[in-house]
Amino acid sequence: MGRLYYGSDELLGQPAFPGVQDPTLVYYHFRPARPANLLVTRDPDSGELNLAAGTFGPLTDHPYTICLHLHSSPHSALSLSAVGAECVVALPGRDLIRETWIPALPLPRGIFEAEVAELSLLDSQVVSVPGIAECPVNLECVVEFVRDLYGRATAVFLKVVAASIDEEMLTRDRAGQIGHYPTYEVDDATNIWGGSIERLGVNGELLECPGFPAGAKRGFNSDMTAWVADLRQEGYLSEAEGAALSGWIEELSSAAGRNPALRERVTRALASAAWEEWDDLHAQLSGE
Amino acid sequence: MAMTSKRFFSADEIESLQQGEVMDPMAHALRAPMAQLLLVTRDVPPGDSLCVRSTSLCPLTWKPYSQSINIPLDDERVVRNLSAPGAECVLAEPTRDQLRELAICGQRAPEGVCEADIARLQLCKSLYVDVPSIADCPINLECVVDHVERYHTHLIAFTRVVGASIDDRYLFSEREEIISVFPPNLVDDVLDANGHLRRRVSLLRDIIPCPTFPYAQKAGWGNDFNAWMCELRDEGYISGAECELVLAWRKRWDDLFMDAASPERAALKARLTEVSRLIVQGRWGKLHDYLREA
Ligand SMILES: Cc1cc2nc3c(=O)[nH]c(=O)nc-3n(C[C@H](O)[C@H](O)[C@H](O)COP(=O)(O)O)c2cc1C
Repeated sequence: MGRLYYGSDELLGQPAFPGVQDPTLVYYHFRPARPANLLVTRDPDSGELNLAAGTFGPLTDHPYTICLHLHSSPHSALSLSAVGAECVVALPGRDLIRETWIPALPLPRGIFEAEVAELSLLDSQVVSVPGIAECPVNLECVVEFVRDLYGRATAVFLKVVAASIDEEMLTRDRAGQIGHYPTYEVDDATNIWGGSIERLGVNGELLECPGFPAGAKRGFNSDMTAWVADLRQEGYLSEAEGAALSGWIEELSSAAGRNPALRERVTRALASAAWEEWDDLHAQLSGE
Repeated sequence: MAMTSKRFFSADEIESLQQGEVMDPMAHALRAPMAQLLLVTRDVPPGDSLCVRSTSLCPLTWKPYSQSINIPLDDERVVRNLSAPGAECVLAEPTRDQLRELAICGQRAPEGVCEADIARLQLCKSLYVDVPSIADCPINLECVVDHVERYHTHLIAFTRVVGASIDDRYLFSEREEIISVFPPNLVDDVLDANGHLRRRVSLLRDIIPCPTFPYAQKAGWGNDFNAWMCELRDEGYISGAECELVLAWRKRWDDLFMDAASPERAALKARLTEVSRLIVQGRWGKLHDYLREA
């Protein structure tokens, strides 16, 4: 067992490996699947609607904002190049694979891909472009920030100003929702002409991460001092043990972390708690 | 297609779904589960400690390979570590068997303590940056910050991949297997029976191919309508005369594109839309009829 390292040039050159038949197999190992979207915009020159397929990523929850990345040439990039421009980001379900691919076809500029894909438009509440009725979720968005990326693409930050969801999705549990939408851009397979076949994925299993006592009751993004307080409150640590561990952490913080022995002690204690090795933890906290 | 009824939310309603310690399930339903990675940074100044966080990312470009990472502004340690262009970091993809490690690295250890040590994750040398990779993770992306932007509650770091490594155990794995192992996507946070927060993640399961030729260019990706029409002609889906007719419409369409008021432009748009629709739906008989009548 070992690790194979690739430099950026090798990565861009789509690294293959002797014995690997599929030329894109290794390359896509390095590209985590990302959620797909359908993007409705209006051409600023002609005023005509445009539908593109894309992928997006998260920015902030308060407010709800998302990030698109658009090649500089596509039509939707032109429509979203100014702050204040409007669009709808629609999340396609697994029943819309063909429809999600159609906007990626080289149709002449101005031909509205939604008509070609036989998709219906959904009136928006706030923005001036419609959504896609067949998509379970439609996010009405306004451009807040645009940045050029290496002269080849643009990052577009969007604020969600209104949204809609299919009532039918609300009758499903979360596993049922994520098994239906969104789809994810996963990789390309190769067709018999050596061209690519885009492949989309859908979520399957829903798994739970361990929570308290292996971490703070408040969960992610909380400070580990809060977790120590939780452990004390719920009796995993005695008052004295909790006070000792909190004291070590405080002392380490006031030394700005620069006390190797103390650092080691705190790390060991927190690791024991994280792996629920309570006997070890008690021994560490009483044996000092 | 059958239309289902929709429930609409205003901006205020969306915001109110997101208040409180746990987001309303509806707020999650309006979001997409995003890949969860482990972000490794080195503490500055000259701190010899490392800091590891769980994070999600947004791909930006493939050439160069770059992505954005969003860091809460109240996470002063990571904000400090990544604020200067040129700062280095590693993005590691955990597996489904490392959910405890993911949860541990979702919390913030005291200054000087590395979350990877608490999670008992083994680090290893990176080749292209000074920040180590996580040996236990199948994929590590070694990155450099090109730019940062403060945006609402977060610091958005635009990072470029300068190198990457893979655990050779996965080198020959098929995609179907890979996606069932890593990376986990963040689905939501729910309260367990004791009122404690639990993070839920998912893994992809099904992979479905998009249509290929004749419903697309043979190349798959490509930006050449005319080439696609010629391929359809060469493979006998349309005749030479039909191909010529469509190409002539397309040329005329390009000529008239800026002339929004032109009735000829409107007619051409209808024709090109119809031709495209019939091709991608594979209605060849209807396509021949349409082109003949035109
Ligand atoms: C699932 C999927 C995801 C895609 N993601 C992106 C993307 O994130 N950014 C991008 O520029 N193009 C992406 N594309 C390619 C665009 O859809 C394609 O370039 C299209 O022609 C752009 O349309 P437009 O020129 O009308 O804007 C994606 C295509 C598909 C099918």
